[in-house]
Amino acid sequence: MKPELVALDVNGDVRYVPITGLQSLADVLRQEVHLTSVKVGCAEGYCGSCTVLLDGEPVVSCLMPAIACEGREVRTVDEPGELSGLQADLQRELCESDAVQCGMCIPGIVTLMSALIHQGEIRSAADISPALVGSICRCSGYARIVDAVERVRAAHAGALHREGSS
Amino acid sequence: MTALGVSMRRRDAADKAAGRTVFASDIVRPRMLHAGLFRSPIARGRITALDVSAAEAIPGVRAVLTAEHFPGLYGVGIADHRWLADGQVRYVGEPIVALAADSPELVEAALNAIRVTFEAQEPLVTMDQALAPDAPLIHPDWPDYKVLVDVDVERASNVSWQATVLRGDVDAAFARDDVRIVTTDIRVGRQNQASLEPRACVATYRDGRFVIETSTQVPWAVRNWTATILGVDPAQVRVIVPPVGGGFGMKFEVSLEPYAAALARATGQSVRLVNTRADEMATALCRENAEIRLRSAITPDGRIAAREGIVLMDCGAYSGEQPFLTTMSAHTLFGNYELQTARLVTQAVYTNTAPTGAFRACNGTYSTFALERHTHDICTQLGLDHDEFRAANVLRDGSIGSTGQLFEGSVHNELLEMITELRTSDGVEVPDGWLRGTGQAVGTWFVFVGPSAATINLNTDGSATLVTAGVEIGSGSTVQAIPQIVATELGISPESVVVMQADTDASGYDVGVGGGRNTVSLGAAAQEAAIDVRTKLLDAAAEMIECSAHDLEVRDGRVRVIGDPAMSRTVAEVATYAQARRGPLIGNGAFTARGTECLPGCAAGHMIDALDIPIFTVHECDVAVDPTTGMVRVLSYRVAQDVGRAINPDAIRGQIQGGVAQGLGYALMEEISIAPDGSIEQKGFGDYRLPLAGDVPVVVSALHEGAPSYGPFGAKGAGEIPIMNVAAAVGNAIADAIGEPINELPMTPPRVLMAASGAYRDFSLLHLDGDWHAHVLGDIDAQHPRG
Repeated sequence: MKPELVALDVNGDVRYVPITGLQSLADVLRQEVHLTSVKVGCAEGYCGSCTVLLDGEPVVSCLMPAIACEGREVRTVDEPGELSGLQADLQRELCESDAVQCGMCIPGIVTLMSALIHQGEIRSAADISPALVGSICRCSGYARIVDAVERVRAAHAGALHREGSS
Repeated sequence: MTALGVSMRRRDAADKAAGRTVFASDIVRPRMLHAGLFRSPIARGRITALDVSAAEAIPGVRAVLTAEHFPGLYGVGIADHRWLADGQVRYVGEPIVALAADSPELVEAALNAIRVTFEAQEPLVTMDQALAPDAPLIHPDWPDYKVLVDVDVERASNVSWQATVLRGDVDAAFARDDVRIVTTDIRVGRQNQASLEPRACVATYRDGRFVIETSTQVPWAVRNWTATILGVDPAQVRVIVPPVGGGFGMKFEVSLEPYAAALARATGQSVRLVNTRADEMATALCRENAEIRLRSAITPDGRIAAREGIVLMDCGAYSGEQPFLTTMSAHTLFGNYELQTARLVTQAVYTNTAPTGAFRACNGTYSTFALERHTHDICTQLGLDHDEFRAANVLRDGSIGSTGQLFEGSVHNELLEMITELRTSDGVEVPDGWLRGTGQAVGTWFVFVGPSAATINLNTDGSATLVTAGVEIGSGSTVQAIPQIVATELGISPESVVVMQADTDASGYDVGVGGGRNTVSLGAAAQEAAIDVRTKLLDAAAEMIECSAHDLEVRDGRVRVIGDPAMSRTVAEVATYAQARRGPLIGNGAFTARGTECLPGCAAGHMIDALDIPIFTVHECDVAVDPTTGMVRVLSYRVAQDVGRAINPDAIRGQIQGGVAQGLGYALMEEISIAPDGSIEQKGFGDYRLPLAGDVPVVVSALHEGAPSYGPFGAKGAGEIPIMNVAAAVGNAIADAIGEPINELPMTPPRVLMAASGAYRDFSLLHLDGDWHAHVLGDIDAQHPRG
């Protein structure tokens, strides 16, 4: 099967990339755009390490046909756009709480949790573990990741609250 | 300020969180080819015809290699493994052809074009089948294989290795009329390491040498074994290791590297070979399935007069690490407690299944499950108090271990006290109708000490460059504990210690990162190198300041006269001075095991007769069991662990939290089953259930310091052992909750329901029946000559 040149908006840059058939977005981002921040732990949609934002929604890019992303906005952990501040806070919390071990799962978790906090999907600490059901971390035992997410959520909620009341 | 005992953060975390870290699976090279392996679809059979011509004819396919390109035999204990099958296949997934092409799609097309004809043979899928008296031999050539340790046992069965322990008159102890005898049978399944980064490498052939960038825990073993397998000089192989995306023991052996290396040489181009998740499910070197019988004679005063054990470990089609690991049942299954007499036989058994291997704490996990379930059975059946029995019988200062080693310190007793202090009443609430139980488990493990080398260059800017073959597999030892050790000895900040990535061209030999040895062995070599370079630094400073080197110390980046801090020079100034007059400041360090005595004649077939640095640990947990569904919820979890010296306490606690999580997977959900055709039934994370965030409670831990260890500053390995006791503690908690024994892993809801109905009350593995001696190969007394 011959590849087709398709215009993809990746991290704010529109570029023409060759896409073969139903080749996954993860493969195209890694092989053609060289965004190796998109980790592939399983390529079957379970581990979540390849999570990216598609029009602001977190998706597992290993199951998303790249061809279906034409005309849509793809954002990776490298350039998260309006989530930059939130994501930087979460990355800092993960580092400061010594939550990162091998690091394969972390970019996907950062992307997913930042998006869900931003969307207001995580309203309390109790929402975090259920929201991580599609994110496998084999090293950490999750507790420090959950704590880091909760601190960022609480700080973010406080900031929103202050904005709302001023 | 000392850098010891400080929970410094990781220098690699920010890039990992940002996705900037480049793992082996992320590497791209100019003109890089992609590679793939054609794997056997059957578990046992002869290859009668192999035709690769159609694959070779596809444009863009650059090399197609078969067995003759891989002449050497591999095996840590027994060299029984040809890297591409030659005539005979022995498991589903065994590689037969390696090829490289311009794109992954072409690799796929070429693999599909390979034609193989087999004469299929009936596979021996279970150990029961493999040990049947009329079973065909999976390795008829066993007597011709090279072995690491000579054993005087004739091989005429599918037992690949046997290790035995014999101490005291066991028969007489069992025959005493005042002892009561308790028997426990245990069966456990496999566990897949499931590191998120699969095995992956990129190989290049240039200037007559192989350069391999690979995701491994053992750069030197990969160098040496790649050379053996390809039949080339080891000095022709260079191994470089980028950050590794999880290993857990699976990457403690050579794997994909020889294929990529041979393909790189054949094509003159870089070659990338990365396993898919399906490959890893089918061929990961899982923790082995095993079957165990324990029998003990208990005296009226609650002591263990005799213990007898049989262990069958399924090594799969090739023995790999397992001959070595048979050693460890003596120290784990027959660890923990004082035994007046003991006999144990551990056999690694060949089957037509994927080879098994090392996984964090290896057979220690199920040995501890078996031993602590047995201990629970003893106390329950004989009406003894569990806490009192453990406290009275655990190894203590002056105890003699099963192989006759003398233990120092009463660490188990101290840990048992520490764990009670961690108990709290404010646990999670038990749902209505669920049963609550508490379980405890004691464990004994070790540091896999062995050779390590280190070099330190002390630079004229006051920084130090540490060169070792240490690999960062995620545990943090190369970015936390080891630079902290070097910084402490050199009186500089840990941030000033640059740690070079593992490269066999730059560093001296190292056994590898695993077995809880990183901080101990690499740390000790690094410490010695730091002391060596510090001595030279102080000599140069003494010359500068015009005083005696004995009057100098180095702290906070300055060399100063003790008692006269005004008289000082910075490390940078002294290093600059020294370099101009004597040449650059360089220190070297080397380390290996000191060796520990055991009683002569106690252990046979063992590669480690005694534990150099034992590690002790106690786990305890509370669980709730739903009697309707068999679901288990872990309500709270606590760990008291002997760490020797906590160089970075938070890093250790991170290992404990993560290790317990993996242990919960092993205990409760990670199930691997083998189909009658020999294939592994679980194909991915959809049917292999790993622990998720909601499955793992916050683990409360207490770190025990001060136990004897010759590790740097008294440190012991802290990262491997946290997984070891989990299945045992959870199993005992479930047994407590349901009031019935449970003797199989994993303890999935169906098994918990079976257990609750009393199904394990008389659980018996029939092929382990009969006289113990009938299970031993060869003449046991001849293997254990008395000194």
